[in-house]
Amino acid sequence: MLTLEAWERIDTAAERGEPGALDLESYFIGQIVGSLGELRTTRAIVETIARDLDERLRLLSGLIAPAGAAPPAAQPADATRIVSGSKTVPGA
Amino acid sequence: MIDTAFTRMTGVPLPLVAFNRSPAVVVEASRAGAFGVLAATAYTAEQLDAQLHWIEEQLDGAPYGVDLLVPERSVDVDLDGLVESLRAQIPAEHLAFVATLMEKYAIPPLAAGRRVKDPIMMDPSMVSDLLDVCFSHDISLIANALGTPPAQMTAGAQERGIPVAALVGKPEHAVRQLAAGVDLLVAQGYEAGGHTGEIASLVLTPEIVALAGDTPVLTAGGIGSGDQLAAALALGAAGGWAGSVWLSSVEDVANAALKDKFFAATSSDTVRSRARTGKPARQLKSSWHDEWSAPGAPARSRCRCSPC
Repeated sequence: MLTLEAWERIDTAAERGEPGALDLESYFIGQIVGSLGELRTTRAIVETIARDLDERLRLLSGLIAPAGAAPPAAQPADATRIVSGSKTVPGA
Repeated sequence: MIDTAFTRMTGVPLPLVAFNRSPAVVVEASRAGAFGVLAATAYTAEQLDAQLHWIEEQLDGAPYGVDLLVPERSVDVDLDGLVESLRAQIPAEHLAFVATLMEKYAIPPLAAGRRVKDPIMMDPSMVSDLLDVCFSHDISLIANALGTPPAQMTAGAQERGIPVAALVGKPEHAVRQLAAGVDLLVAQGYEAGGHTGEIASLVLTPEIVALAGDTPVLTAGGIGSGDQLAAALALGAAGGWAGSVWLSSVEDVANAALKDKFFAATSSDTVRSRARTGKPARQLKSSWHDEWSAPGAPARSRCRCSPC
């Protein structure tokens, strides 16, 4: 209650690009903010998540050796590459 | 197409909730195969009715849900009187500090006549009207972001076969929610934006899954990519509940300046702080937090204003 009006004022001034408001501007967001790289459509975000989920689940299921098989050879370094959102980890 | 208890419950092909305050994000997420949930705070019943009508027109039958911010027990008092009495409980030191900050950063006052909306509905008739609006629409899930859902929410939802979801941050919350009869638990880890507990998703999800029995669990906090969603499934969750990632979307209503700050931020640039709502909530770190933690700033934890 104390801060609702203050934030309404900050948001309004930040939209106009006022420097003081840009310093204060903030919103509720989680630690994944670090992997948000660019403006995308909601559809593109959903489709990327769906595609990467599918790829990750296939990679994971491939980690299981068939019963009675010899231990798997060492995997190349990029076998467990991580593509996270729009930022790609080195080695991917 | 992934088959989990959540995709069977809602009929969506991807076990992912898109939780956002922008109706256009809800629509686009549900159209693309996820499950859009509208964060319906600070709406009057009429405004919510108009938003849900618009969403349904765009969706053409695709499922979506609504998340309200309603207390388990409403206070039966004159609302104007209550607001005034809560205002009176805010220490003068806090009011003066905010006024000083506004001056120091040259933040102009609001335009005359512009009213600030309180996100928490404390008026019992308003809670009842909001629930009536939700139940008059074709929603596939109703969630409450403020503790145990009121009996009116669970009873009304059960009557219509609509699953009820609730956010939990520790096992004790899950025990209470299961006793209240919720159909879906959202285990929200420390990494999440907004009001969070102190347990990370990697630890919290399996704890809640172990307690939940046949009740499906979603992981919230740290879900922004396919790999993170796969990790949630690996922990026993039936899917993920994502909030932050949609703030980077074209359809989100946040201003461009704020989105640019998100794009420039790293995973170290958030803070779980009381300096916005009075309760620990994760947010983007800014000068606001520096000011509230500077020597001489008032201690927010001393504020006795309950919704603050």
